[in-house]
Amino acid sequence: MKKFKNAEYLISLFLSILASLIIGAFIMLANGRNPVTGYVALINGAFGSKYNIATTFAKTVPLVLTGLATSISFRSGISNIGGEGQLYLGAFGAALIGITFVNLPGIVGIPLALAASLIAGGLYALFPAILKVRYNIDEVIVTIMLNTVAVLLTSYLVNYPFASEIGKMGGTEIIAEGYQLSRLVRLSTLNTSIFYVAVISIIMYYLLERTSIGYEIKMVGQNSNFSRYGGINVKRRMIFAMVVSGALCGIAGAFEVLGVHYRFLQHISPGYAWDGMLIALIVKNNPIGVVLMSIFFGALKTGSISMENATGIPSELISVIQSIIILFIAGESGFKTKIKSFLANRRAIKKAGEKNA
Amino acid sequence: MAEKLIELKEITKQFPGVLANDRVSLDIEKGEIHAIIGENGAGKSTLMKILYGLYQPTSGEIYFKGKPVSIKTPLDAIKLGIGMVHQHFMLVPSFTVAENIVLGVEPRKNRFMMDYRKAVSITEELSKTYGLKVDPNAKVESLSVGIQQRIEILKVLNKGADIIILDEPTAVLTPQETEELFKVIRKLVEELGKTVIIITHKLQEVLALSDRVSVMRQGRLVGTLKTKDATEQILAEMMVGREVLFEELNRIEVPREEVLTVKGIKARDNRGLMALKGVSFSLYSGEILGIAGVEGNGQSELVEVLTGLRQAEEGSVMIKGVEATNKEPMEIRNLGVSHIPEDRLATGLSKKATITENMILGYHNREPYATKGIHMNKKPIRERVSRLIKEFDVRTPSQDVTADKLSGGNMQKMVIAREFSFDSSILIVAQPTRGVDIGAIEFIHKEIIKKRNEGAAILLVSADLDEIFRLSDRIITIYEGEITGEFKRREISKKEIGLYMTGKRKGMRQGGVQDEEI
Amino acid sequence: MKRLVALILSLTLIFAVLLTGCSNEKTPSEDGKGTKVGLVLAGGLGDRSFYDSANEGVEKAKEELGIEFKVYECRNDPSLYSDQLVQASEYADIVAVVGFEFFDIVQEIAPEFPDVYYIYVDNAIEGIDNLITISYIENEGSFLAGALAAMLTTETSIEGINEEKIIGMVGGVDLPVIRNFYVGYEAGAKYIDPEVDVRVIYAGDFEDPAKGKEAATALYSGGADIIFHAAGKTGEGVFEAAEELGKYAIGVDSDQRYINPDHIVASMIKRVGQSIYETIIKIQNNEIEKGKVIYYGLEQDGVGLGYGTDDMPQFATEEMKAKIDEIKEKIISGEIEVPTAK
Repeated sequence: MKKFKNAEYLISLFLSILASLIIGAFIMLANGRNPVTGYVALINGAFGSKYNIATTFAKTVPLVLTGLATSISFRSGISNIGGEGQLYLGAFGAALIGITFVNLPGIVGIPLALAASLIAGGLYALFPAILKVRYNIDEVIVTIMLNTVAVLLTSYLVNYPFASEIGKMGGTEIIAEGYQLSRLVRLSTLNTSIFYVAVISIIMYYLLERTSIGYEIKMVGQNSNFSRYGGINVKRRMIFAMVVSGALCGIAGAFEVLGVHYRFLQHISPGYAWDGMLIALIVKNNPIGVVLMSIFFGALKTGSISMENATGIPSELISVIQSIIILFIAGESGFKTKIKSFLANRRAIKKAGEKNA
Repeated sequence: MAEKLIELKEITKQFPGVLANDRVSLDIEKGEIHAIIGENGAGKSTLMKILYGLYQPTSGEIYFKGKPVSIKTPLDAIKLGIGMVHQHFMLVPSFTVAENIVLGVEPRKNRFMMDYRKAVSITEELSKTYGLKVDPNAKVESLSVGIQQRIEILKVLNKGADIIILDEPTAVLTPQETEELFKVIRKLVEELGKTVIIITHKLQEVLALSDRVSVMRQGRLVGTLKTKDATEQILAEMMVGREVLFEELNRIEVPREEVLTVKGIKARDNRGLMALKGVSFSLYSGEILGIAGVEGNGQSELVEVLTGLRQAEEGSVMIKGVEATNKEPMEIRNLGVSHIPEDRLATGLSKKATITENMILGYHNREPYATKGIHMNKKPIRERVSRLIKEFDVRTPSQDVTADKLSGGNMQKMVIAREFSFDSSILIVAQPTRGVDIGAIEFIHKEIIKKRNEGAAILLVSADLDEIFRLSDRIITIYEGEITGEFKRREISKKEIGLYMTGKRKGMRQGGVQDEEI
Repeated sequence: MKRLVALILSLTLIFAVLLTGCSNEKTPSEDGKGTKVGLVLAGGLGDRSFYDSANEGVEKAKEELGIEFKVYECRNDPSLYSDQLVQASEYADIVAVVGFEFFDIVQEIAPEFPDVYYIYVDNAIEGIDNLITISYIENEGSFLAGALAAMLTTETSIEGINEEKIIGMVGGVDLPVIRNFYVGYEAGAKYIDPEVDVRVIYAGDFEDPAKGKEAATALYSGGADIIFHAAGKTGEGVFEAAEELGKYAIGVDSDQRYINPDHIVASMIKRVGQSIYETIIKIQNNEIEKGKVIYYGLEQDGVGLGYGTDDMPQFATEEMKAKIDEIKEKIISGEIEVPTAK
């Protein structure tokens, strides 16, 4: 039955993606472009060469982390919309370690930088979580506002106290060499952070799907009355989920610093947390789904740039396609019942027809 | 013969894994009270939901006044004059009574603004016409279930329904409220020419109220007969397919020991009003203490205080000598307290979770189900759940379906299976058989007695006096947050206890305390 | 519902037809003879300012030198900087990289494509053979803008100009480059009249006219009558505010007077396009000094003040223009020292 449900969901997800790609094709046609060339360029751009594949996976790294972060928070019924802010603080924390303890070897330095980002992101999420469970202050509003605070705060820090001496670019100094995660494929920003992310994904999967903590988080999110009645410490689980969520976002920021830019930049994230949220919504907070959908989003992003450069079809089209997928998924249950009743009707009509014959 | 208003022909409804209706043919005559009875999961609700357009039949046809109709949505049903009052109410808690009644057919001042005054006058008008008293300006969330049901009925009438389907209407009502409801139903049919279909499993009600009765079992229609030809025995046999005897339950004497002491508890309800005004009693091992009272007199709040779900303002709760006032539910559970909550949907289970997930709660972090309290082991969990499903006869296609796919009785059996499987020395049981069929009631009652005979202390809260009388060793009555009487088993009659439940009499029978007549 | 399913099915069908119908089509091969230039922008076209100016430069090179070019926009998405630069490098012989944001990435990528020349605009990097950087001495140009603003702020004969000696500036983001505009602007104003109060607001964005408008409105209502913007597309909001409130603005990067000649009194021009164009010529003629920074200040005519075309109403009088020219000479000769931001 569960499998049946999953299959049903997968089918509707697949149909949603297909339908949005078709709509995308029509938008291309309406603009006088050939959708076939467009999509071929898209696929080529995402997977056409070793470099392209590497770039796709490089784009996947932050999305997996922010997607998992959203999953755990949404599962527990507390909505962390503050991923972007946690990411910025985490990134800054990692950069700060990287420019301060310059003599540490990587084996000590990298875990230290990650710990700093984890703590920064986690603490930044802890604050709204406590407001929520103690005083019932809406966490959505608080976390949204904290995003702005974090972005502006880090922007100040890197322009004044921690501004880089050269480059006039609104960033910290380059982190010490020991902290720089090595690149894996020539020209691509893909780096060893992907291995860390693989491990983190497995841990998160295990946590959410195989442990009593994950079970409690899920129950709390589904019915907090039931959970409390059943002896689960609802507040503690909500806080835990929120802090883990913030920590994951912080780590996502750290990897942007340690693996991609090698320094903190004031606009370091193009909205990774928001993309992660979309991903988690699409896959209904399933950790495996998050990983796969992140790869899909990463491929779309990488491919869309190549598509734009090769065919002139604006890469914004991909955002449109992504939005349409969300719309379809949001309307999924509605579609499902409609399709079911359609099928049921057809069967009924068929039967009636047989009777008449 | 009266006019056939609705004919259901060969209705079949297939859910994944469950055949809910199997070629059911049934007709409803104009101006009759037609009862549909059957155990939980027999397919009564499904059949009515098909008639109301909530489900589409897998096959089969519906005729209305002799013509085939297709009812795709409740809107279609309403157009035909069919209205339904659901077992689980569909009201907006934060709206007022008047707002709920006019919901969907709001009187408007202009395009955007609702005419609230008009809504109130509509409500008052309806209330007068049908003799269902309600306060149009009260918020629904602050009202008792009985009143909420009235609102549901008024809502349906306001939409102009001629055929009213009532799904388990008496499950949540006190005897007095039930009597009220029956008067209303008779008035609707006899004076206003409406047709009523009532789903129930209480045999006395069927016999007292209906003109005809259809019996369903396991998705099939067993038969339809005139009520005057039916007896309780006949119907019960048709329902369960075997003879049912409400036999005397077997009690054995077990040593009594005080395990729960409640002293001077005061607590407020959700509206902030004093719901408990100093309640004191003791509960002993090996006994069932029944709390009798009209719903809304503090029973729910009492249970919540005892289980840690509500804060007491004054007083103390001692569990086996341990101070347990205002402790978290988890701490109280750890002291050996299990709880069957009165509202299984809101508190007793998670509808979106699978049966396995629902039934493992409380064991999910214990060995061997979770190694070191963390790593959950699928195999022992599944084995435990499937054992409990079998033991407690939870009817489900698999343990992986979500709980909302179960019928009310099976949901309740699932909750009871979980709670009774803990080795708790104290069981707090609220409305254990509300909305549950006869077969399941018998089963649940036997389980409760079994626990008692094993030495558990059981606090039973029920709106069903029969249940209280059948199970309890001791009964206390509660009225407006105060205990009005305490009686030993067989010391008092149902009629007499009603006086205590309604506050007309106060005082302890025990220990020679004089009754005081008020 | 039937209709929807039918629609989707038919769409799929059409799509399939298109697939087979179009598979033979080929994109025209681009084996033109000219040099290929890739223009990589940190932001996007359409700002009528910095990036558009760069685009004009390559357009001019296309017309006059017969080069081919492609534009690679990153739309301020840092995750695309590397991708677009790599793609441009794979396509082009000369890659013009526009935006201080590329500081790290261009240093990383350039050595990987030794056959490609990189013209990096708006920053300063030395020591990479195939990388030429163009750095603008924007504080010099801004000095002139400040001087003009200070002269105009007391010209109450012009409608909308008040007596108060307050002028404003809207910066895009609080960054070293933008602060450099500000210090020049402030110094220029103080040079004319030390009592002039120069106020600045950083909008926090280069792409959001709404934020620019908000900032400008705040400055205007605080008594400023002329606002200089160094905010890319955000600056469009400054122009809107100027028009709505009947105040004045000074444009940046391109000669922006044409956008609204009644309210934009002048522009501090950063000849990004011109400098890219000139550098392309130098590369083609092999006249380039490898790995060097080329500074474009007043002396090289890389920055300056533009007054639009003659058919536009002129707010700056001939005297003022003469004064500006005088200051310009003094800066070139070193008589006036323009401060630089840290």
